[in-house]
Amino acid sequence: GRKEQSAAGDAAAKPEFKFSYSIFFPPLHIQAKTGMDWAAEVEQRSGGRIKITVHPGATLTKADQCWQGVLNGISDIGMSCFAYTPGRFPLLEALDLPLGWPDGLTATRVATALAAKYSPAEIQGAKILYVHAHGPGILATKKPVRSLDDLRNLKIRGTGLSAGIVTALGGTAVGMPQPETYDALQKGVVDGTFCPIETLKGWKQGEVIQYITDTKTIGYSTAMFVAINQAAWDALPADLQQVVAEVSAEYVDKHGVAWNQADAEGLTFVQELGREFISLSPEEEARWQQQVAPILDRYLAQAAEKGLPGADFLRDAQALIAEARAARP
Amino acid sequence: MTDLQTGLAGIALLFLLLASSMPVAFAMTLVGLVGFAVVVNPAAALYMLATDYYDTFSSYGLTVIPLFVFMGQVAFHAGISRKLFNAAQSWFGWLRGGLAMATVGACAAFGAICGSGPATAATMAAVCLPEMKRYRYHPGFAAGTVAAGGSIGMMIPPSVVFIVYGVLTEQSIGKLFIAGIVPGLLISAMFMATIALLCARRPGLAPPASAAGWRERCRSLGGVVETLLLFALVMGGMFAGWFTPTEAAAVGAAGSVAIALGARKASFRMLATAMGETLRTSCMVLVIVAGATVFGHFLQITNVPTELAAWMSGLPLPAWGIMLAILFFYLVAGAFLDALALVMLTIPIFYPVVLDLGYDPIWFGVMIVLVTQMGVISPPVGVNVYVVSGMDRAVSLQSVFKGALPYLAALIVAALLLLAFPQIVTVPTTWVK
Amino acid sequence: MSPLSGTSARTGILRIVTHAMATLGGLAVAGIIGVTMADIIGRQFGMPVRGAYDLVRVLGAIAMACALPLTKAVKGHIAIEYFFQKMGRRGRAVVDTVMRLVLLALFGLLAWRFVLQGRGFLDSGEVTTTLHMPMFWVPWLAALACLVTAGVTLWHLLHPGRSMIRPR
Ligand code: NA
Ligand code: NA
Repeated sequence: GRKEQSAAGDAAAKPEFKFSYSIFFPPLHIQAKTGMDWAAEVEQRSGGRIKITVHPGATLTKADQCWQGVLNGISDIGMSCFAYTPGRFPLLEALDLPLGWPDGLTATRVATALAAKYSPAEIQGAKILYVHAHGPGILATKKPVRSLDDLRNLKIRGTGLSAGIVTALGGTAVGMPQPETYDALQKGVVDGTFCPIETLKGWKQGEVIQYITDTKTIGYSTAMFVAINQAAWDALPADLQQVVAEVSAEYVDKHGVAWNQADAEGLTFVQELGREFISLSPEEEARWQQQVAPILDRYLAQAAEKGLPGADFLRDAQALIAEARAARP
Repeated sequence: MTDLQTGLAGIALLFLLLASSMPVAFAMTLVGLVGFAVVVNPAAALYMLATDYYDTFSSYGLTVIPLFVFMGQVAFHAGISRKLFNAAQSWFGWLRGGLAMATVGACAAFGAICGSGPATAATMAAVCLPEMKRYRYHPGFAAGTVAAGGSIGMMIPPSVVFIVYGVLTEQSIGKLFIAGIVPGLLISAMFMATIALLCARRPGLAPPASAAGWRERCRSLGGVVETLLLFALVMGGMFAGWFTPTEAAAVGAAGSVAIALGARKASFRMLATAMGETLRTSCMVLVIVAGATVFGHFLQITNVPTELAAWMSGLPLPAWGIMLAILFFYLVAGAFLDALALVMLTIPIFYPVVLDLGYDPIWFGVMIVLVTQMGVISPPVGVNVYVVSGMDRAVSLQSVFKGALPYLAALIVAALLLLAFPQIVTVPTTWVK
Repeated sequence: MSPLSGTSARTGILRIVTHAMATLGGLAVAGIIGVTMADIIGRQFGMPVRGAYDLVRVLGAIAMACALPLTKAVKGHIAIEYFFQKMGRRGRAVVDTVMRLVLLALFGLLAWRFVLQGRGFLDSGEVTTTLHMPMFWVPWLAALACLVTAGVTLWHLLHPGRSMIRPR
């Protein structure tokens, strides 16, 4: 060993590698806490040779600067959404598409597996440790939406991909930051919002909507990377790389389970508020799927244009989703 | 040098640069840039420089600043605000400091539609400052009043700070908004009392006008119509759900131009003048925000605020002593750091402690807003004071800080009041379901 | 008569560019108002402005970047003058010169970094959220603004005690 150490995780041991870790989730959010647990676990299992200071709440890099921040060394490690920098991840973008993601754990497992399998050029400069992703987006509204016709001309909050879905479904997409959405729903600036059910509790929006339409059939997701600067990674000796990789592999499911749990709590939250749940009939579900199909086609066309294996990626994702759905009771 | 020492050295360097008359925005930028280069590396620091500036300039939420400033400028150049203040003067002019009190009232009303303190200060500065000047109010007193009055908008809902607090601590935002109303009104009343006290001690601050006759008073009311129209458009549209608070800024700007056109007071030249003023004021504000961001990122990487907060919350003191220490911490840290960043950094540390001590989470949210109110007017980094001072070049920065000082004292008194009588906050929240 | 009488052609060009950028910035603010109003009215009829959110952000960035030279030219950035005023004449001259040289370097750095940032957007293919509009040119415009601002700072360095453009 390079340093004398009395015991693993001894607080007095001088760390050989100090890393900063930027997380955009607020510090008390379960995903930020899970990220902090990951950091503590890495520190502990490295015997104190690695020290990670976590900066949650986007206090070091904003959500849309996090990836670039990792590449440029603002933080050594970062957690944020691929979708916040549209165009930068032309292949991995598929992880967010409305493929009917069944739940957060499945989405998290599939996303991590596919990111590792394809490891595309677009992630050059950083090493992705793992990926996690939220459960399927649902439609929360002030007026009941039982069919596509009910959605026509409703104003729905959405940005980026979710805005595209709203438009494809015939609704009117209104873009605004998440913190403004509560007020906008309350005052009726928008009639609804597309989000994972967890958001209805996390951002309290459940207080100001009346109906929830189960749109899992076209469930989109948002994949989030946990990545380390490539040079920082390369500087680690093989045994420490091993430690980080092992802990990361264990935390894939922890994040996935946390997403599922958050969705369950979101569900309880809106149930206690007495909100009405609406399921779509199988025919109606088919219509919705048909409406969003052009979004998938556009992804395929853009990936093909850039010479990326978009079709393979999408097929793999769909196969894994079907597999997960089949395995469920 | 440890990171902690670098952080403290950075704060010292900031003081030195500020004293050398370097513009505040660039002093913060420089210290942040150099400090980050020392703690991390120069390449990362240089990368951060452009990103932080670009991110501030392209921030959706901050676009309200040029828009509200433009609305105020048009209202001023078209004489809309002048008529309003003539009315205020003929009704309340006999009262010492009556216009300053009217400004506080206007700030509270505007705070009910605007979630941002600096935006409220910018709007009110454009509208109220020229008028108080016209009635020969002491420049520092007038500017300090607007800077402090602008902070009321952070307590009266809607409020960005409440939203951030609510999300961080998983408290109901609706409940927090309701909890802000009574303290917001209380602070407005305390500010008015401060004005009465100040004017009684120093009559030169606000020269009184002779009491206007009832005929004149009634005639002056005609001048209020245009302002009421603008107000109804912005407020009404928001409450009717036609647009968001951010979008309301654009509606207000468009509305002020429409009213000026209707009154045949808008010329191309006038609009160009108003736009020039708007550009330079909002650019000044946004560059300060960008500088504060660079500086804040430097302090963040040194961990100074986090370690200090963690140390404070472990002090062997009784509950009220810890609470006082926390408030003192915010008063000091708020002197240097952007309010929202500070809340983000420290809530996770203080919040569990405060709950352990048996304090109400909603009440603590109100206290947090109160300390951020102090932060925007306390020297040396007080965004509201910067905004107002930038809009009135005739008055120096230090005299605006000086003018805002009595209100800072009033806010401290308010904090002690809420600490002694938490019922002021907790009882009204139980009245509403 | 004019505070600028007797200035060189270079000063003239600097002033023209400063005013031109400010005009562009003013148009951008007007654009924000226009886009937002059209969006608010349009969505009542199911016809919102697509990507209004993106447009407002880009226009806001243009407005603020283009306002940089003007704000510097009218000495619009606020500072604490209290201690500075207490210094002797020589002391003030030294502090003022050093400070302006530092600012000159800062604007140069910013211009350089904005060029690199735009280059980064171009290489990575990053686009706006909803409209998928390329953004590399926005930092480049900001870089130009910083260069002009550096020019204004140089003018102030060479003409102590004066503003390049008189504030109103
Ligand atoms: Na407010
Ligand atoms: Na302050």
